This record gives sequence, structure tokens and C-alpha cells, in this order.
Amino acid sequence: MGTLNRREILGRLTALVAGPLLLSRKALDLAVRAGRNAPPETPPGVHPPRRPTLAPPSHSVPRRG
Amino acid sequence: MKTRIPDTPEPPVVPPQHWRTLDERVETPAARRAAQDEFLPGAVDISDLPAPSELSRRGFLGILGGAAALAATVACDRKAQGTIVPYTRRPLEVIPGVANYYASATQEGRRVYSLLVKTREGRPIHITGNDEHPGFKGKTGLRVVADILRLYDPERLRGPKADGRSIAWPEADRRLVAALADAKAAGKPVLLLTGAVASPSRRALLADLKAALPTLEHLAWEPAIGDGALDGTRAVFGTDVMAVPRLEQAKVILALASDFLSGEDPEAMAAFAAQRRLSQPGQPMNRLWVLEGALSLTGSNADERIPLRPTQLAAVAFALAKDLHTRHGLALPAGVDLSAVPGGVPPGVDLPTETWNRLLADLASAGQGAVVLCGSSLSAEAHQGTHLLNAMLGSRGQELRSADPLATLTELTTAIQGMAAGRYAAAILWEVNPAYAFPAAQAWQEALAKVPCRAWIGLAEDETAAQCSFLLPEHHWLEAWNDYEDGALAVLQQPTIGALYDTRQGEDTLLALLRGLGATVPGDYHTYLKARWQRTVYPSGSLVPFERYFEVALHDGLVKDGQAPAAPAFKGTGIADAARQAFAAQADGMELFLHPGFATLDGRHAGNGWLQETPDPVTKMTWDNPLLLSVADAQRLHLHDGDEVELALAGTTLRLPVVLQPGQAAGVVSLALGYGRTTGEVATGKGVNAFPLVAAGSPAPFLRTGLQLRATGNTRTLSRTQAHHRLDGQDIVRTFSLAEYAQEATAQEKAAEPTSLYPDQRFPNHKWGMVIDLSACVGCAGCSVSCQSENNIAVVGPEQVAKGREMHWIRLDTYYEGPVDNPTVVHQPMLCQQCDDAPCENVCPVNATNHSPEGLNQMVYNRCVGTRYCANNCPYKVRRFNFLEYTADKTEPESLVYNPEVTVRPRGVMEKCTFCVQRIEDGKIRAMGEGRPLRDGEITPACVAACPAEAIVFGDLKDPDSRVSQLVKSNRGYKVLEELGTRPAITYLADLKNPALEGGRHAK
Repeated sequence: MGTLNRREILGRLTALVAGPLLLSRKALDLAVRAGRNAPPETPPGVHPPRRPTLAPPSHSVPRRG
Repeated sequence: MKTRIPDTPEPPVVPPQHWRTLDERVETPAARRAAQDEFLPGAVDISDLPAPSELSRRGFLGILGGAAALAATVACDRKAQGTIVPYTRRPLEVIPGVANYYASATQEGRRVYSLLVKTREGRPIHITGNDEHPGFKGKTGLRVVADILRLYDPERLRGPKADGRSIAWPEADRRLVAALADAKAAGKPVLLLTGAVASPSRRALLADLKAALPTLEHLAWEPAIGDGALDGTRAVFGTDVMAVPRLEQAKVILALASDFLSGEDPEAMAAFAAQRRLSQPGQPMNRLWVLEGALSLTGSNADERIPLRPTQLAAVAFALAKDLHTRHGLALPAGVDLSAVPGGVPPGVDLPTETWNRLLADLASAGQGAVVLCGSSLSAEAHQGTHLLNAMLGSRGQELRSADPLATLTELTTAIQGMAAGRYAAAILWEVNPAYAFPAAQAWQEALAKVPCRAWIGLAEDETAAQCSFLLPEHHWLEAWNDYEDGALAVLQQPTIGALYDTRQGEDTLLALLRGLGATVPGDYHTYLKARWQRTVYPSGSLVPFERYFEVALHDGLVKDGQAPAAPAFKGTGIADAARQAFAAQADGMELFLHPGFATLDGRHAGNGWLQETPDPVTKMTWDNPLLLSVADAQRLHLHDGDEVELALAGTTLRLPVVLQPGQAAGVVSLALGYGRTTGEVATGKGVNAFPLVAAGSPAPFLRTGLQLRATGNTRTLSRTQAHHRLDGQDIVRTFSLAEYAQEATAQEKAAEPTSLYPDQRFPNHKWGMVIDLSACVGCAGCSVSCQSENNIAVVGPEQVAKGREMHWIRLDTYYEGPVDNPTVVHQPMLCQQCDDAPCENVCPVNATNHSPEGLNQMVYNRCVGTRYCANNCPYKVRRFNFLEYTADKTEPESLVYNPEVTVRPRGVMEKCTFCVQRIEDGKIRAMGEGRPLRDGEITPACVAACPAEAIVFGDLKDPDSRVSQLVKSNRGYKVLEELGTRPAITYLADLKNPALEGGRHAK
């Protein structure tokens, strides 16, 4: 321990505090989130779709592969 | 870090017969080392990568532990990135895993391309020519193949806008109709500026719009077609005419700065190359004469090439006509007077009399089998002289077709003056970009600002859109309907995918305007087009119901629509004046030749990464348009490759790098149009905009004199591939004249294959092989673009190309031979040779590259750990390493263009040509499903399918009757670097040249 400098000690202290904090926040989120059975994705209509929708062309005549 | 073989004493310097760079020509030590090095200096230099963190082992383990704990916690959540949902109602056309093909079409300028579009799961992924088209036979132009990228361009406008805000289509229609109705009521003109009209249905729609809005003034404008071509043709025929090369019967072709082999005319390339594939000496072969200032791709394929100043070519054409009349007895057309034209080589033209006489004799002896083609950059007089020559020869080498009129720069300038004077109430700009491509862009912008209502129809916001109040995004042509006239054919364009965004076909916008103006029109353009077909194309009295007729037409992509209209008659009046002007033209000092960009054309393709990164077939430049000048001029001006110059001409000043181009005429500099765009992430800042140098109002706007060049003292890094991947060996390219070929064919003894210590490979079923005919290959790079599309090849950008990190699996190596001021040129497609004793396979520590039982040198991407040993050991330098992550950040819509049958490679992985193994497997599965053996020619790798010249043949070498097996035995056949004992599966056929013999007789 004597060889550790101040920066390394600070890093470890941060990890000691941040780790449990993040884990507990995640656990709390899982436990108390409303509508657990609802699909987690953003409901349609709230944001415009960013991915284009693929639709087959109308009235076109393909040649089969 | 640099990979290099152990230092050895420099071998004696023997200049190579074929050279690629000026350094190689004199074989400097640096050039010699470049052949021995596997990578370019800097290619394996990873100093530009982010520095690795100084993480200790202990710290790494700590983070790993923490990450594992967090991952375990997060994994308890059922949140997912997305859900894979099967089709609940599967579209009838879509079978997962099976491709659909749609016959469709598009146009570029006046040229119409009949196409076949491959779709997978509803996504268009690859374009080839329509195999039903009698001329294209499954081939097409490379820019059309690459245009699929624009469909998935993330910068496409996704819905209509007014004054910068998104609006709905009905609102846009209502406001635009109100503006047009006001104009109509006030009797004020409305300007409609479009590209060339090649569609009869669009033409009918424009006529309907004109009827509903009598004040409409329509101008069609193509910036890449010079006024010289338009004015010259009108002067001779009295109307707009398109000259289409028909080279099937052409024995002698004279190209006056005409680049008809540049890759945009697959029919001309196929017909030209068909007469270059000789299997025995003595067979007929055409002869190509090229007179030009800047070395073009066509010039690089010439049998006889003469570098001349482009301003002299008009006088040359008239002098040829005069001598053909007086010395060879060819009759002049009625009304043509050449009495004022002096015979012989025009004064000031650097052309030996002996060569002149050979050219004359060659043209005269070929008669109707001779054709003269004129480049669109040349003057009106040069075009008049060309038409005169063809009329005198009675040439069958070209077809004259009536075409819709195009506006010249003079006519466009008049319209702009009207805009500036407040004459127009509204302007609709459809698929044109005058704010970029009009020479006086500032004048255009100031004039447009004075038009009250400005509407723009296009795909992605460009320089012109920035000035318009209404932005009306249109479908990509792969989402839209249309039809085209192509000689005696009626060609159909049908959508291959539903509209990706809230866009609308441009014609549908016009229909909406028509409805708003009170006209009775169908609800959409599809119905409008169909109704027109039923009225005018559908044969009256046909027993086939129209619906069935139209369905078959859509399936095939075209129907024969009677006979092509009769060619307009040649009118000789005005020829004498043109000849006088041609001889009066004097060019002093340097001369500037402007021409459409190989990749960009007039700038419309500048945002296409595939095209930008495809090396120009002649200069091998990517992502830029340098100023090309001759070696003699460079020595006089003390300039070297990459030196920056300031070009000043008539008040316009550009700063750009220079490239020394062998074959360039002394006193001529040339510059490609279509670069220097200011909108679009890909296009912005690539090269300089040369349109301000175009002389509006001149009979030859693309030819300029009086320019000043000044070295700035700066040097630019060129993203140029000419010096990349130099092979270290002898006899890499072979080229023969016909006389040499006759000798070789009889004297040739096949060298025995080097003995190998390795046991022979066994191929129980198939052994795939390829033959590449260098005589047929024109070097257009169509194979390279098609390969890029088929195999999901990454675009890396100009900085990476400069380091030699381009990713193309097939490249075009260009070799020169002879004097630097006028060398002969050979183009050699170079790709993985699929060696049987492959040096790359032996050195892979993880067996990621190995040999298949069908002779393929295959790559297992997820085994590759990126040692690059294989690339070090490949003598052909065809392996490509993903030095950076080029693909992981691609999201929809960009990723929609990927071929699902080919793995997308990440960083750290080696890749190379696979002979399109996915197509081989597809063919085998198809044959197995149908219970039959594979047919010869059934499997076509993307390069083979795309090559308009049919220079590449692929097949099974185990089938003795296959075409490839026959061609391998050709007396022109050889294998590159065969002496290394690699036993490549690709055989090259030597290039042939047909120089004029004494007396000027072409080979019978």
C-alpha cells in the first residue's frame, strides 16, 4: 500500500463509492418502475421513426429470383 | 514501421518496358523499393490511431471485474435493443432469403439505361443492365450502378418544407398552386428548369401543364453537354439531334476528343471490344484513331493517338474533309463549299504529313465502315466538321436520333436576365443545380432572389435548394415510375421499393399543380403513364388485353415500339462559314480543356462515396480534380506532382494541385467538372468547382485560352493510386501489334510450370478459373464499382487512400510504354489470382485463409486475427486490410444497401476477392434444386456481369468445353508472375494494337 500514490487511492475510492451507488440505483429502478409489463420501447407516435419503413412497391412486376 | 525485404545491393537499373509512374520509367531506387515493399510507406503506420491507454494489468483486471458485475446486473433487465419480428402479413413478392429482380430504367443526361435491379427482402441492393435489352445485354454504366447509394443517402430530404419549416403535401400544393394561379391571372411567366427530357410521358405531362398554364416557359439544361455540341448539331441538322455510336460494323473509328469508352455508353464499349477479341492472327480488328489534347480513356485505348490542341481539332476536321474530297474522291454533300479550306495538315498543327496521309487513306478505304466521333467539349465548328465527315463517308457507325431541345448557356443567360428584371412570377427547379453549375453562380443567385415564388424538386438539399422557399422532395428513381424512348424501344421504369420517406415523384407534383389549376388529370403518375401507354404504345387490334400487355412490358422492362424515327437530313449551308471560323481560331499560350468528371459528371454524383473513391481510369486520382499538365510543361514551369498552382482566367482564380499526365499535349491543361460542391457531407470540399471557368456565350465554352498559372509553393498530398501496389516481376503485361501477334502465335512455346514441392491440389467437382482479355478491356473500372456494390466494400476516404489503404478487391493497373509525351497504354484488371499454391495460405497462423476443394483461396473472416502476413506474402498485392473501423458506425438507411449474402468486415480483418463465392453457391444450389448440372456461363461474378466489354470470362476449368477452358489455351494467354510458382487461376490474354500499316489499310 505504501507504493500507491494519491491518484490511485482516489481512483479506488471512487470505484468503491460509484459501484454500489450505480448497482443500487439499477436495482431500485427494476423494483419500482411503473408498468413493468409494458414494452420498454418508446411508444410509437411520440417521436418520428428514425428508421425508414421498407414497403414493397405497388403495381410493380418482379422477376422471381 | 515499414515492411521491407532484407537489404540487398541495388540491382542494376534496367528501365522497365512498361511503367506506371515517371519514377518507374527511369527506375529510381525509390521506385525499385516500392515494388519490393508490400505496403506503401505510411500504410502500416498506426501513429494516427488513438494512443493505447496506460492501463496496468491490475487496473485492467479491476475494470474487468466491475464490468462483469455490472453486466450481470443489467442482464437481469429484460430490456432489449430491439425485437426481431417475423412477417405477420408477408408481402407476396418477398420470400426471405430469395432475391427478386425488377426490370427498370433511368436516365443520365440524354442517355437512357435499361436496368435490372436486384432486391433482397424488399431492399434494392445491386444494379445491372437489363438482359432483355438488345444493346445492353445485361451491361450498364458504372455511375448508374453506383447510383443505388443515393437511394439510401442519409441526407435525403424526408418531407416537404416551406421557408425552412416542415409542412404537409396538401399545404405545399395549395400554396404553390395559389402562386401559379396568380401568375396565370397576371399573365406573368413561370420558369420551369429541368434536366433533359427523355420520357415521352413526362413530355406529355409538360405539354398538359403548358396548356393549363400558358405562361409556363420550360428549359431543359444539361451542364455536362457543351453548347458546342448543341449549336453545331443544330447548325447542321436544323434541329436537336443525338449522335449514338453504332460501332458493330465500324472498321475505322476517328475520335476527336470524344471519350466514348469512358464507361457511360455500354453499347459502344461492347461493340468496340467485340472487334478486339481475336483468337487467331488475321481475324478482322477495328482501328481506333484518337486526336485529343488530354489523355482520355478512349485515347488510352487508341491504336493511333496524336496529341493536339483541342482548339485545332475543328480545322483538322475540315482539312480532312477537303483532302478526302480532293485526293480520295469522296463527294461533298449538296450545298457544301470547302473552296476556302486549304488542303493538307492545317497550319500550326503538329502532325506529320505521313501520319496525315495514313489517316486519310484509312478513312477513305473504310468508307461507310468509318465513323468520326466528336467530344461534347469541342466547339460548334468541330461538331459541324464531324457531321460533314460522316455525311461524306456515308458512315454506318452512328445513328442520328431526334432529341428534345436542350437549353444552351446563352438561352439560360437570357432567362436569368429575365429573372433579374423581375419578369418571372415563379420558378420551379427540378433536378437541376444552377446555383452550383451555372458559370456565373453569383448572377444566378441574385437573379433567383428576385423571383417571388421559388420551388425546388430534388432528392437532397443542394446549393440551389438553399435559395428556394418550397422544397419538394422527390422519389429516387428506384422508387418511381417513368418511361423512356430508346431508339425503336419503349423502356419502362418501375419502382423497386415503396417510398422510404414522405417524398413524391416529381411528376406527381406536376399533376397536383395541374389539378389545382383546374385540369382533369389522373390521381397519380402511374395511372397517367399507363393511360398514355394504352393510347399510344399498345398496338391497336392486339388480341392480348392491355393489362396483360403492360404486365409483360414491366416484366421485360421494354417493348419494341415500331421503328426509330427517320434521321434528319444533313444541311450543308453554313459549313463554309464554320470552316472559315475553324481556321481563324488561333490559340496562343496555354489552353484549358474542361470535361465532365469521370466520377461526378456535372456534380450530381459528387456525394457518391463509391464513385469518388473509384480511381479515375487515366489519372488514378480519387476524391479530387487536379489540374493535369504535360511533362514538358511541368518541366518548363518547374512543377511536380502535388505542387499547388494558382490558375487565373478571366477574373476567376482557383488553387489546386497539379498532376503530370503522360500523353497530355504540350500547352494543354485539363480539369474535370463536377467537384468543389458546397453541400453534402461527402461532396463538400472535394476538389474545386471548375464551372466558373466555363465561358457562357462562347461557341466552345469548355475550351479556354489565356490562362495564367503560378506556383504557390505549397504541396498537397494526392489521393492517387497510380503508384500503389506495384508488382515486382517481369512480363506483367503483354501487348502486341497485329504483326507481332502473328509471329508470337506461331513461335510461342508455353513455358513449363515451375516444379512445386507441394503436392498437387485435387478438385473433385469444380475448379473455378477466369480469363481476362487485355485487348477487350478498356479500363473503365465498371468491374470495380460493381464489385464494391456486390461485396459490401467499404469507402475509406481520401486520407486513407493517400496511405494506400483503399479497399477495392479489383483494381485497374495502368501501364505506359514508350515516350512520355505520347505513350501507348495498357489497362490490367488485378484481383486475387486464387493461386493453387498460394503464398498467402502458407503463412496464416490461424488458417483464416485456405484453399477450397473448388480452387478458391477463401477467407474465414472470424478467424482472422490481422497479422497481415498473408498480405506481406502476396506478390499480386491484392489483399486488403481493414486498418480502421469503416463499417460499424453505419446505420439505416446507409446499411440498407448491404448485400446480406456477404459478411461486413470489421476492423483488423483481412479481405480480398472471393470470385463472388456467394454467387457460385447460389448457382450450385439453383442447379441442384432443378436437378441438372451447372451450365457454362450460368455463374457470373459481379465483375464479369458488369463488364460492358465482356473482357472477363469466368467458369469451370474442369469442364473442357467451358468457354474459360477454351480461352485458357489461347495463343495470347499468359499468367502474371507465373515464374513464382503460384499457379494462379487467372489467365490474361495479351493486349493487341492495330496501328495503321504503310498505305493506311486496316486489317481485313
